[in-house]
Order: sequence, then structure tokens, then C-alpha cells
Amino acid sequence: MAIAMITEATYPHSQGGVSVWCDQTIRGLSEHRFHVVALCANEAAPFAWEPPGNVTQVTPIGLWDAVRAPKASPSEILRFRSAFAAFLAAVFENGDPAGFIAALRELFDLAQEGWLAAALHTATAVDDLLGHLSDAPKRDGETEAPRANVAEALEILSLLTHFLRPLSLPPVEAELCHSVSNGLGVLVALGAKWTYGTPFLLTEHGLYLRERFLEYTPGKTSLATHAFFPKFMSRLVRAGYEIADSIAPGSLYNRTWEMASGADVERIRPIYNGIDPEEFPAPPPEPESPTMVWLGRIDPLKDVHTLIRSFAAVVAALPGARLRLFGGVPAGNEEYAQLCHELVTELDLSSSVTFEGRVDSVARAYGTGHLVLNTSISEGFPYAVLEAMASGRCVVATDVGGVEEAIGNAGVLVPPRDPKAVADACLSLLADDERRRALGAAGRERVRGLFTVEQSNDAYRELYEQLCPPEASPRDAATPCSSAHTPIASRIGEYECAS
Amino acid sequence: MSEISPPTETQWLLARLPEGIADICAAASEPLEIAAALEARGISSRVASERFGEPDVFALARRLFAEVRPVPTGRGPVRRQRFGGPGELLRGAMFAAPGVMFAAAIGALHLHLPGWTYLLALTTGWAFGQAIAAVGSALAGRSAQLGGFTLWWLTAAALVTAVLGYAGDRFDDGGWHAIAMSVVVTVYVVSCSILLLAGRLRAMALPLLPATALAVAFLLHRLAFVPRGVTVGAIAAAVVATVVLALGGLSHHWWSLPRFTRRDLAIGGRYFAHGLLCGLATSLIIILSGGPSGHTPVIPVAAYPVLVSLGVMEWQLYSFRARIERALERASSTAQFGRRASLAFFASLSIYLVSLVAVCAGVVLWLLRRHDTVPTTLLAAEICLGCTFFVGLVASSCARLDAVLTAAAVGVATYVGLFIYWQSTEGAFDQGVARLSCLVAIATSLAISIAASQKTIRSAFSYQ
Repeated sequence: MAIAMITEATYPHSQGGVSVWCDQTIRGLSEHRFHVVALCANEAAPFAWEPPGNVTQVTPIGLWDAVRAPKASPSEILRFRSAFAAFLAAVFENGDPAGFIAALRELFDLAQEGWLAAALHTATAVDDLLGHLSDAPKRDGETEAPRANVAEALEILSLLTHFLRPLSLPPVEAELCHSVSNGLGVLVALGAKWTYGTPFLLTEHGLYLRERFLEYTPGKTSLATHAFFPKFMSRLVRAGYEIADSIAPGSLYNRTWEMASGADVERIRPIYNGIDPEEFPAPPPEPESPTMVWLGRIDPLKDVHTLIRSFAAVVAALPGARLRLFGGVPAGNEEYAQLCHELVTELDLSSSVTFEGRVDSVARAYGTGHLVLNTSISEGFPYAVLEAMASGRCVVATDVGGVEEAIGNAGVLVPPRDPKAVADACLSLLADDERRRALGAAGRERVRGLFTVEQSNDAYRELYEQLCPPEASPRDAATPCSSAHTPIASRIGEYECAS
Repeated sequence: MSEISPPTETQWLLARLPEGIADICAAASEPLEIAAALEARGISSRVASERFGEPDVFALARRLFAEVRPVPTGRGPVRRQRFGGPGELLRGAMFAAPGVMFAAAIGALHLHLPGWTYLLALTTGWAFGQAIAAVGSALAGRSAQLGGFTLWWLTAAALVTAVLGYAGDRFDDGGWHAIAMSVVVTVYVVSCSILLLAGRLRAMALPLLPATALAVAFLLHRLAFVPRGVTVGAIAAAVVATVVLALGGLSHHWWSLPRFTRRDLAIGGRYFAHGLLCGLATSLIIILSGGPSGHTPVIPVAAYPVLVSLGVMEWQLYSFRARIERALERASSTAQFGRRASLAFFASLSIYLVSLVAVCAGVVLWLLRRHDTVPTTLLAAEICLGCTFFVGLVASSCARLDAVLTAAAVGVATYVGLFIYWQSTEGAFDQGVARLSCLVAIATSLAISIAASQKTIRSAFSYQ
């Protein structure tokens, strides 16, 4: 089967859990051919992963690359105004996803003609957006908001031009579109569905909408950004659930968010991530000095500040304790990483906290500690926790996302953003060797029994076949199998009528 | 005495939630936004049920969304561009320093340079310097390594100048020192561009300022104890140090060139042409004020007003950007912004113009005290040229040079046209006519560049 795997800011350009999953899935489903459509910052960015042989093509789509768009003619601007007005109305008025999808369809047509970006770069777009920002429906009891200004409209249009870039690309030809996250990847899947009727499978490891909401916190972003983008992302994510033929969340926790966002429960089938047990041999002996290990990318969502603050409390009680942080700093997070280093200095922890960067063997990294910590404020079903458990080390993790499902009773859960709770759990476990080792062993057993890559790949194999049965699967990638699969195609027709 | 009302149920609820949740509830666009914030602060579905009696975190979020009175969010942190000040004045004045330095060098070395030396040094230095700044910025924007680009570019600038200098020598004499001086000026200007591109203003200033101080002392003949050799030595050291510093940032892949896109080449070409035209106009004024023979011992007085006003130019460019930022923040439509942007532009241009006229008046007074004079047409041309540079600077800060390039090309065409006209009708193109033609050409160019850049200046997209 020819599958278009759609990624955003992950595989094959960056490291991280989702990229690990992509690599495992593509390698594990070697009977299928994959065309990776990678939404990334710029097309020239180097790959962090070497795609395996069954990847027939990688198409990077640089969302932030400069593009010279042809000028739009006056008649085209008129068409744009109508489409853009429908789009803005769908964003600002809390309607059902059908209206938003229909508005996107109109923008898709303009984008395919090549001048959407140019039209978004006109005074007309600025003035129309300002009109909608001023007239947007208010919440009950809401007083008059500060009037939006040209600077804010420009900021929104600039981001929107980048975000909508996938609509301008030639629709991807495949038998199945499989997006590994909700969000901008949905635009690629929509293009394929509108053009070829390609079925769409949506996997959600993290929760795109939840993470965007945390990103666009008021006070941290401009007024206009907060007034527009949470709404835009919310509509886009709901559109993703609406058009997906099947939704495969990485945890039951994700499913609750999907249902709360309006996804059809009948189409949701959770599939857990898995690890390869062979990569995690029996745990080595614990080190001599009390050591805590953290592994991940340095990112605000991982809340490294809470980790460092909690360790300060541990060191106060156990002066010889060490904290080893493994993992790189993704592009764009340099400032946050700097703040983490400054916090270590400020708390006088420079001699006991080490930032050790990326490692080749995660099992070896986990083995260097007594405990593995995870202080994220948002998680799907994290590999970091599964791998730590598979390494036979006791895990102390924040109770976010699917972490509870992963750990069960084989670890300790603490509330997020609570350094004291993390420190108390660590001190208690460091003082109780028997309990700590028992939890480590139980975690290892749990992962080997429930969360293996083989189980995960089998589930996806089955899902691919359900969405594209082998007997219905044509040889030609340009003729997707969804013609036999009518429910979504018929709904798309409804969206078009709704416009 | 005011009556204290008991806390409402919502207030009680908010008081038991983590800090900051109340603000998020008031600003949220939908309940899920509150749910995300609650979870990120430790309120999971289990906590929502155990502590608040709600079925899950979503139900708690829905309740908060419905009950907490919405408050429009304030504007996020705004980074304001400040108006220009003494720092920009000094920075701009520093750009004038090389002119003074090389004038002193020419005087100290008793060089009698032909007009083509100024033409060549200014056009190649300016053109190569502008091009590397533009292409380098584009490359830096996508984090591309400059690699050996700077070295190759500097070498190309030196070679082109040397070859053209040789041609100039064959055409109008001048000798090896004229060729050498052209090459030195070009290499120095391009090196400064490389340092500015890397944001190393201090590296440029460090060798330049002492040499300029000595150059000024030498030119004013006030400090008789400054020997000629010391002045020349200091200037030579400044040039060598600047070139070394500019090439100091080369990586070990100094021979490799980065990958250029067509856009890079287009931008480079445009800025090269802009530099070429700027150099052409400036050298024309220098040549025309240097006497009928075209030979002059130092850069003539008529060329100083623009040099001296470079600080004001820099200051007003900063202030223009600050005015534009305020206009963007205060305008609620593009038409309103356009009007404010136009006013901001003319305000900045007017301040610059007044400063330039004041400098010109100072020059005239200084010359009168020395029982000397400067042609009015040349001073007027100088004022027009300064204003054209300012318009060009504004346009290039908006990354839109096309309008200015067109205007400059029209200016050149006007000058050539007048030259042909006078030659064919009068059979001569004397110094007075040449100065008048120069004024007409530059004034035409200024008028066209102001008119043509208005669309760019009024467009909000120019300032993204």
C-alpha cells in the first residue's frame, strides 16, 4: 500500500518521541511504501533520521521558507475577499467544523491557483481581518476589548500565510494519508481527500490543541495572537477529527480530549506506543551516590524548571545527590535552555546538575541513576517513561496525559508544577531501596507485557487494512481506495453544500 | 462603612484553584482552553472529581467558563523601538570617518589623484560593500555559513578595482599610486561592510577612531606635532587591522562558498546597482568641485555636508522606524496607517533636510571667513544627494529598493541627456554647465524617488 505519512516538526528532521514512533512504524510495516510529507521550518533543514528503504520519497514543506507568490488580480482579490470572509466567520463564530472545512476548501482552490499567499499580503486582507477582530462575537458578559490594530493584523496574517502554506502544494497522491499529529498536517490530508478522495488516518501522540492552548497563554502572546490563533487551532483540530476516517490516539487519556473536542467516539481506536524489549537489557547496578536521571528534549512543556527546583530540595536533604539531564536543545528553545542553566546557577547546583546532551543509548543513560524523573506539564503516552520502565528503573512522573496509563502501579505519580511533591517522592524512594527496586522491576515487567513495538505495529497493520482492504487496494497510488469507503466522502459533499 | 458581601461560590472555587487560573478563565476563548491550563497545573480529572465534585476536568472547565466573568485580555508585552538619539548620531558620524581618514592620507602623501580615482574607489567600494551586506543578511537569515564568501568577495572587489584602475591609468594617467589608493579604499569599505554584517561595529570603530583623530588633527593643521608619517602610519594600520578583523571570522572552510539562491543573486544585484549609483553621484560632485583639471589634493569642501550629516541620517532612520511602529500600533485601518506613515516619512526627511542645510550654511560661513566660496549649484546638488540617500536608506530598510533604483537610473539618464544636448548645441560642456546638469539630474532623481517610494512607505507590509 502507498501511504503518505504526514509529520509536523518531527520526523525526519528532529529527534523526539514522535520521530521515534515514525521510524519504528515505517520499519515495522516494511510491506508498505511510505511517502513522508514533512512539514518543517525550512526545506533545506538537515534530516536527523535516515529514512529506511520502504520510504519512497520525502517531501519537506518549509512553512517558513520565503516564497515569491504571483500578484493577485482585482477579480482574484474579489474572490479572495469572499473566501476569506467565510474563513474568518468560521474561525470567530463557534460553529460546527463543517463551515470551517468548507471555508478551507475555498481557500484551497485559491491556493492551488497559486496566489493565496499574495492575497493574504494585501491591504484588503488586513482591513477585513481588522473588521472581524473588532466584530467578533463576545462571551456572555464580556466588555469591549481593546481595538485591534494594524500591527496585530499583520502579525496574524504573517503567521497565517505560513500555516496555510500546505494548501498551496500539489495534493499528495497516495492510497492512504496518515498524519502523525493533528494540526497543520490535516491541511495536507484535506487536499488529498478533496482531490482524490484519499482516506485519512489521524494518530495523536500528544494533544495538538492542548499544547497550542498552553502556548497561546494570554499575557505571553500579543492580544491579536491570543484573539485569533487559539480559535483557529481549535477549528483546525476539530476539522481533523471530522474528516478522519479513523482516529488512533496514543492513549485513553488522549481519547477523552478527542471526545471533548467533538470527535466521533465510533471512529476512535487507541493504540499505545511500544518499545523494542531487545534494546533494554537487564538493568546495571545502581550508582554509588544518589542519582536522578531525566531524559528528553529541553522544552517548556517538559517543565525542566520544576525538575531543577525539586532537585534543589533533594540536594538540601541529601548533599551528595546528583541530577543528570540527557537530551538536546531543539532549535528555537535555546532561550529556554539558557534559563534552565541560569536557574541551576541561581540555586547553586552547578556542581551537582549536569546537562549531558544527546545520548546514543537511552538504556545506558537511564541505568546511570537510581530514579528516573519526568516533570512534563503535557504528555501523550511518553516514550521517556516507557523506556525508563523498560530499563528497570523506578519512575517518578507527573500525572499528565497518558502517564498514568503507562505507569499503572509500577511507579510514583505526582502533580505537575509541584517541585515539593517531586522532591518528597524522590527522597522517600531513595530512602527505601527495597520499594524503589521493586517498582523498577514491576515497571520493566509491565512494559514488556503491554507496550511493545510489535503490538503497536500489529495494531496499525490491522487499521491500514481496515481503511484500505487489500482486495480494494489498487496498484496505482493515484487511485486511493476510499472510493469503496463512502462515509467520509459523502460528508465532504455536505461541507461543500454548507458553504 | 461598606458592606462586606460573602464570597460567591465561583470566588470560593477560584480561591481553591492554582494561581493564574482566574486570569485564564477570564480570557479563555472556550472551555477546553481552561481545561488545558487546569491540567498543566495539576488539576486532573481525578482531582476535579475528588476536590471539586465535578465529573472530570472538562466539566470543571465548562463551569468556570460559564461562571467567571470574561475580561478582555490586555496587550501582550510590546517591545518598543526607541527613537534615535546620541548613539545613532555618533554611529552615523562614524560612517563619515573613513572619508576624513582617506582625505588626510591623500594630503599627507601629497597625492595628486585624477578624477577617475574617486569615481572608481567610491563606485566599486560602495557597490561591493552594499552587495555583500544584502546577500550576507539573506544568508544569515537562513543560518547559512558565509564560509569563504567574504574572502572571495573581498578578492573580487580588489581585482575588479585594480583592473579598472589600470584602465583608468591608461585613459587619463594617474600612476600606480592612484590604482593602489582605489584598491585600498575599496578593500577597506568592503571590509567595513563585512564587519557591520557580523554586527561588529566596535571592531570597525577600534582601529578607525584613533586614525580619524590623527587625520582630523592633520587636516586642521592645529596639532603641528603630529608628524605626517605618524598620520599615514596610523591610517595604514587602521586599514590593515580592519581587513584582518573582517577576515578573522572565516571558518576553517574558508574556501567554500555557501549555496546561493536566485533570490540572493537578485537582491545582491539590486544592492550592487544601488551602491554603484550612490558612488557615481558622490564622485561626480567631488570631481565637479575639484577644478577644471579634475585634480584635487584632498576631498573638496563641497562633499563634506553629506558626510557630516550621516549621523543625522542614521538618527532619523531610527526615529522613522519608531514613528512607523507607533503608527502600526495606533492605526485601525491600512488607510489610516498609510497617512501616518507618510507623515512620519516627511517628518524624518524634513529634520534631515534642515540639518543638512544647516551644515551647508556652516560650510559657506567657514569658507567666507577664509575668503573662499563654493558654487551654489554644487551645494544644492549636495543637499539633493543627501536627501536621495536618506530616501534610499528608508526604502532599503523596507527591503524595497526598486523605486530608488529607477529614480537613480532616471537621474543618470538625465545627466547623460544634458551632456549630449550641450555638446551638440553648444559644442562644450564646461564646469558650470556640468554642475547645473548635476543638480538637475540629482534633483530629478530625488523627486522621482520620493514619489515612487510613497507606495512602499504607505504599505504596512513594508515593515514586517
